[in-house]
Amino acid sequence: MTATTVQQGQGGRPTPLTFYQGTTGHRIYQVLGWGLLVVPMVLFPYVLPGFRVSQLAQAIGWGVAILGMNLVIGYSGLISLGHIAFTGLGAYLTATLINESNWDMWMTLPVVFVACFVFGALIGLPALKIKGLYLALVTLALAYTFPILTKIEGGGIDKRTGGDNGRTLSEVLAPPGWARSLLGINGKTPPQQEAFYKYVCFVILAVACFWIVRNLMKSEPGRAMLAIRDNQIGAAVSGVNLNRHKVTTFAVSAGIAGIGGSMIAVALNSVGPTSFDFNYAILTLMGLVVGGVATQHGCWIGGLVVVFLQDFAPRAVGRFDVDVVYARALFGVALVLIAFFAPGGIVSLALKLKKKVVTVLPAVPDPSGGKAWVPAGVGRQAGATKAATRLDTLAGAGLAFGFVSLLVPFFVNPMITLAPAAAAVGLGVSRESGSSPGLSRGASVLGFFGMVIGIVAVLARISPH
Amino acid sequence: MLGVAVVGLSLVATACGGGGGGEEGATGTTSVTLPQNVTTTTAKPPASMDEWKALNTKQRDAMVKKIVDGKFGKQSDGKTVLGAEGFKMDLSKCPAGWSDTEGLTDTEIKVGHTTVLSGTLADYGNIAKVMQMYADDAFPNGIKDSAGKTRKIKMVIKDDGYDANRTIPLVDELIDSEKVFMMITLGSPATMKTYDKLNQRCIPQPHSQTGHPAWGDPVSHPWTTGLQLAYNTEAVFWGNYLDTNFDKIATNGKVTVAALVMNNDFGKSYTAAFKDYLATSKNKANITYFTETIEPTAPTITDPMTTLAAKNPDVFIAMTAGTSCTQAIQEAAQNGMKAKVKYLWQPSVCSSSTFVGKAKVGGDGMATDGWWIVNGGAKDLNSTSFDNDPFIIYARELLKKNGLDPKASGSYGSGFIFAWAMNTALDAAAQLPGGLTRTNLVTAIRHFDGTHPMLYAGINFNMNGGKDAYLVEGGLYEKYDAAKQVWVTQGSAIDLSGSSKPCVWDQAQGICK
Amino acid sequence: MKLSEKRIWGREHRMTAIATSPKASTVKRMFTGSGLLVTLAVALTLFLIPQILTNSFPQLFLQRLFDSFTNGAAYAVTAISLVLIFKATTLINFAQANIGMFGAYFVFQFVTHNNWPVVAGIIVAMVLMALGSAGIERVLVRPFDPSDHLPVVLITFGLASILEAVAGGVWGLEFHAFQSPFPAKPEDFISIAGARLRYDTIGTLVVMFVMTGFLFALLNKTKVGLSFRAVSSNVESARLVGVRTGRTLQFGWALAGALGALGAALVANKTQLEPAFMAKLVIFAFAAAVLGGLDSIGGSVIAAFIVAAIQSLVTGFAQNYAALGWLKSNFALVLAFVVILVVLLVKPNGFYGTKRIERV
Repeated sequence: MTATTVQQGQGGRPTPLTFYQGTTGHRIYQVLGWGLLVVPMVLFPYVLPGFRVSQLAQAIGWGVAILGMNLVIGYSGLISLGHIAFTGLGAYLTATLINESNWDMWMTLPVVFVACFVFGALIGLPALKIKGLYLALVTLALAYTFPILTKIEGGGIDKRTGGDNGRTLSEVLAPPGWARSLLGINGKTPPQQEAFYKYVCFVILAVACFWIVRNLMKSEPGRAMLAIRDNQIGAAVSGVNLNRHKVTTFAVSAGIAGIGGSMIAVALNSVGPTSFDFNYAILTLMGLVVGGVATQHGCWIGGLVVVFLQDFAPRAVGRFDVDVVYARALFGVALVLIAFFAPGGIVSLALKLKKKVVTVLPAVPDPSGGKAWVPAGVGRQAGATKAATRLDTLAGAGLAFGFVSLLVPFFVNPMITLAPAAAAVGLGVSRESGSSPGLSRGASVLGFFGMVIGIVAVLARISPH
Repeated sequence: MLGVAVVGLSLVATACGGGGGGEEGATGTTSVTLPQNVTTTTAKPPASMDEWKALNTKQRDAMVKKIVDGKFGKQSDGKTVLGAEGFKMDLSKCPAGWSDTEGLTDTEIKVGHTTVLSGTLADYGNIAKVMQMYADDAFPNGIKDSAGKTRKIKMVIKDDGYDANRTIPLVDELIDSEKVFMMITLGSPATMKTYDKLNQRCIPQPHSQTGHPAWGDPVSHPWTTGLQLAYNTEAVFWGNYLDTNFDKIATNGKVTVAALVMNNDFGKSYTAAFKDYLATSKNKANITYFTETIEPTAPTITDPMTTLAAKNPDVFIAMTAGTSCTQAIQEAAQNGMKAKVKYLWQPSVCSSSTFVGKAKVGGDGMATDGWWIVNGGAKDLNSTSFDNDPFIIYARELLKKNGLDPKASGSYGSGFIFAWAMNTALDAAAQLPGGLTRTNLVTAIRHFDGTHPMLYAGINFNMNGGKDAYLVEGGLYEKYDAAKQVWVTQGSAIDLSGSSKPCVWDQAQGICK
Repeated sequence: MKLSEKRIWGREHRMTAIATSPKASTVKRMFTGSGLLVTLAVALTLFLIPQILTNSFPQLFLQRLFDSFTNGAAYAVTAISLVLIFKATTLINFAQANIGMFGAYFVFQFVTHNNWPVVAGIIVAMVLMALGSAGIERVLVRPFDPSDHLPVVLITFGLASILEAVAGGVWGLEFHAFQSPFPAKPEDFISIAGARLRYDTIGTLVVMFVMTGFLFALLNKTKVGLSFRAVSSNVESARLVGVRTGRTLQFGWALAGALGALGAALVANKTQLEPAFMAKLVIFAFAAAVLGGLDSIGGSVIAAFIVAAIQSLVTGFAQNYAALGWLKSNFALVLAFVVILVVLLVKPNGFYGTKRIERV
C-alpha cells in the first residue's frame, strides 16, 4: 500500500515530515503505516464482542461486493445500480448449494463466480449499447426485479429461496480444531469462535479478490478500461476493443460482487429478499462513494458504511431525542455532503491529508559516488519488469497447484468439477492481457484463488470439527 | 408477517398446512372442520380492574399449582425440563457457560426486543413502547419472586427496520453483550432467522410478534413461542363460514371464490391454508378458487382487482396487509364487484380503523359497509362498544397519562396484548419453585392458562406442554357497519383451544412436517 | 491500428439512412422508433386476439384498456417531469418522485387541515414545489458539471431519502386518504359496453394531455422555450449567443417541480398518501421515460401507455393461456424490464430519444 502512495520529490510547501527512501526513518514510517492497518485488523476480533466481529465479517462481504461494483462504476464509468442482483445471486447460490447439496462454502465460490460472471456478461451485453443514464435506469429496474424473481412460485424457485422469509443456512462456517488452536480462541464461546473464524476466512478471501482486481487493473484490460472511461472514442481510435472490454469488465465485476454475496450469506447464516433489494442497491452505492470511487481501498470503508451506518444512525438520532424516522434523512445528508466536499470519498481525503503531512523523497545521492542516483521512473520500470517475471513464475506454480488442490475435493464431491472451469475462464481472460503466452496474470490470480479454496476445502474436510 | 397489528385467533390442525406457498406438499395435513355452533359458556367477565387482578391472580396460582403438582419444570438433576403431554427440554445441549438466570440482577429483568422503529412499518414499534409502559405501571415495584427477589422489567429495544439482515447482529448484540434474559422478535423473517440460534443458545423467545405457524414447535424449538393465532388458521374460519352457509352463497349450486394474495409469507400462508381447507371440504367439487398476486410494493391494485371481478366471484377475500387493505375496499366498490359479491372478507390485520375507517377509505366511508372479518379475539381499543370495559378504560387512561393519543396508532391495542402476556408470564414464572429463571419462564408459558383482558370473553389464552403450542386459538365473525363505523359481532366467540397440531417447520418444503 | 470509430458509428449511420431512405425494406423499417412501436403493437394484438374471441370480449377487454388508461396517465404525468429535467440538464432527478410526494402532502395539509378547495391546494402546492425545485437546482445541482453523472445521482438520491424521512416525520408514516380533484365516488363512471371508464381517469387523462400540449407550445412557440431548447442542445453555444443558461435550467427544474406536484396530486387518490407512495410508482415512470426516450416528452407519454398496457392487458390475460399461468400482475415490472432491454438493444435511446453525437 505504501509503495503506491509514495510521493516523489515535489516542489511546493514543505511538509512537517520528510523522509528519504531507504533511510531508517523511512523504514520506521513504512512499518508504522502498515502497522496502523494490520494491528487493529488483528486485534479487532480479539477485543471486540462477538456480534461486532460478526458484523465486521458481514462488512468485509459487502466490501467485496462494492469492490466488484467499483470495477464498473469507478473504473469503467458506467453507472450500474443493479449490482445488488449479482450479489444476491451469489448469496442465494451459496445458500442453495449448502442447503440442498451439502457443499462447503468454499466449494460454492467458484460456482458462484462463474455463474455471476456469465449472468454479468449477459447483462453487460446490453450495456454495450445502452449508454449513460439509460444504463443507470435499466440496472435500477434490475435491482427492483431481483427480489420479485426470488419469490417465483414453481420451478422449485420459491422452495429453494424460501420465498419471502428467505432461508437459513443448514451449515455454519465453524472453525476446525486446528484453526481454533492456531488462532488461540479455544477459550471463547462457540458463537464467538464462529464469528472470529468467519472474520479470518473473509479477510483471506477479501485479499484474494482484491489481488485479482488490482492485477486486472494493472494489466492491459485494466488500462483499456480506464482509457474507455476517460475517452471512449479516443480509446477506440487507439485500437482498444470497446465491446470485449466492456463485457469482460461487467462480467468480472459481477463475479466479484457474487463472491461478496456468498460471504454475506455465510456471515448472516441466511438469505432473504430484503437483504438484496433496492435499499441495499442504494446503500452499496453510498458505501462505494463514501469510501471513494475508483480508489483501491475505498470498498472496505464502503462495506463498513453499509453495515454500521444503519446500525448507528438510529442510535445517533435517538440520543438527541429526535424521532428515529429522521435516521433516514441522515443517509441523505451524508450523500449530499460527500458529493460536495469529498467527491473522491474518504480514501482520497485521507491521501490528500497525508500529502500535506508527509513527503517521501528519493534517496539522497551519495556525493562520494558509491551508488549512482537513478531517476525514479527508470528504477520503477526495471522493478516492475522484475516483479512481472516473478509473478509469472508464481502464476504457473499457483495455477498448477490450484488445479491439483481443486481435484482433491473433486473426488470427495464430483460437483466441484465447476471449480477448474473457473480457472479455465481465468485462462480465457488472461489471453487478452497478452503479457506472456499461455499463462499470465489473470490465470495466475484465478489459480491462486483456486489454491486458497482448495487448501482450505481440504483442511476443512479432513480435520474434525 | 405484516400481521402483528392485530392478534389473531387460532384453531385447527391446518395450522400446519399452510406457510410459504407449498402447493402439492401441503396437502398432507389433515384439516379439521370447525364444529358447528361452538359456543363457550363463560362466567361473567370482571367488572373492574380489581376484579381482573383477582381473577388473574387466581388463575396464576392455579397454574403454579398444576406445574408443581405435575412435577414439571427443571428437574433436580438440572439437566432436563419436563412438562405436560411429553414436553421435554434437554439442558445438557445448552452451550458451556449457559446460565438459567442470565440477564437477571437483584433488581432488574433485562428483556431484549428487536422491533421496527424506522421505515414504512415503524408503527409496529409502538407495541414495544406500550410493553415497557405497562410493565412500569402494572408492577411499579417490580415482580416479586418465590426466592424473595423483586425485579423491575427493563426492556432493551433495538430497531431492525424490518430488515432481517439487521436483526441478526442486533440479536447477537443483545444476547452476547447485553446478556438479556429473554428475546422478543417482530415479524416472520426476523423470527425465523434467529430462532435456531436462540434455541441452540437456550434463550427464551416468547410471544413472537408474528402469526406464522412455525412458532408452535415444542419439540425442536421449545424456547420459541408465538402469541397470536397463525394467519393460516384464520383462512380456515373463512372456509368454514363458506361451508356452513354454502347453500345461501351458491349460484346454481356452485361457488366461485376470488382472492387477492400479497406476495409474501403472510399472503401465501393464507392462500395455502385456504387451498388445504378446500381440498377436504365437503363442497370441494362445487368450489372454484381463483387468485391474483400483488407485490407488497405495488403502487395500485387496479389490474388484479379487474381480473378477479371478471371471474364473477360469490366470495372475495383480500389476503393483503397495509395500504392494500384500503385499496381493495376502494377498488371493489369502484369496479362493481362489491355490489355483486355476496361476501367480502378482510384479513384480521386490517380490522383497525386505520384501514377501514371513513378517514382512510375516503368519501362517506360506505365502501367498507358490509365487509366481513375474522376477529382474532382482540378487543378494539378505540371501539365505542368497549367504553365500559374496565381494562380498555385502564389502557386508554394509561396511554393518555403518558401523553399518547389512543387513536394515533393501530398498534397500541396490540401493545397491550403483548404487554399483558409478557408481564403475566414473568409473574407466573417468578412464583415457581426456584424463583424467576429461564426454564421457569418457558415452563410457565408452556402451561399458561388464563383469561386475557384484551381478548373477547370466551376466548382462552392457554397452552398445554407438548400438545397445545398455541396461546390463542379462537375468534369471532364480524361485519362492518359503516354508518356507525364499527365492526358488529356476528354470533358468539368460537374457541378451539388445543386443536392445532404442533408444527415443525420445514424451510425447504415450506410446510409443517 | 483499426479504424474502430467506423465500427462504432457505422451501424448507426446506416440506421439513420434506413429511417430516411424511402426504399428501406420492411424488416429494416421495424428498427425505427415508430416501426418498433408498430411491431410492439402488432405483437400485443396477436397476443390478445384469442381473448377478443371469448364471450367476455368487449366488456373485460375494454375494462382492462380503461385500467391501462388509469395507470398510463399516472405514469405519464410522472414521466413528463422526469423528461423535462433530462431535457434541460441531461440528468435524471431521482428525487423527482419525492418532490411530487412532498407537494401532495402540502395539498393534503391545505385541504384537510385548512379546509381549502382541492384545486386551490394543488395550485399553491405547485407554486411551492416550483420554488423549492428552483432552489434545489441553484444550491445542490448547479455547482456540478452535468457531464459527470455520479455526483448528481448521489445528490438526488440523498435528497429523495431526506424528503421521505421529513414527510414521515412531519405527517406520520401511516397512510392518509387523499381527496381527488375529480368526482371519485364509486358511482362516478361512464359505462361503455359494461366496462367502467371513471371520471377521475378521464380527468387525469385530460390534464395529462393539456400538460403535454402546454409543454409543446412552451418549448416550441415561446422565447423561454427557445432558450430552453438551445441550452439542452448545447450549453456552451447557448451561453455564447447570450442565453442565460443558469436561469433557463432553473426554469426547467421549477416547471418539473410544479408538474411533479400536480402529477402526484392526481394519482394520490388511487394509491393513498404515504411517504413512499411516489417512490413505488416512479419505477414505472422511469420505465416509460427510458422506453420513450429520456428527452422526448411525446415518446415517454406514448411509452407510459405501453407500459400500462403491458401491465393491464398482458398480465391480465396471460392467465388464460395455460403456459403463462404464473404470469400474474406482480410480474408487470419484470415484463416491462424485459421489453425495455429488448427495445434498448435495438434503439439505445428509446423510441424517440435523440441520439447525442459524441466527439473526441
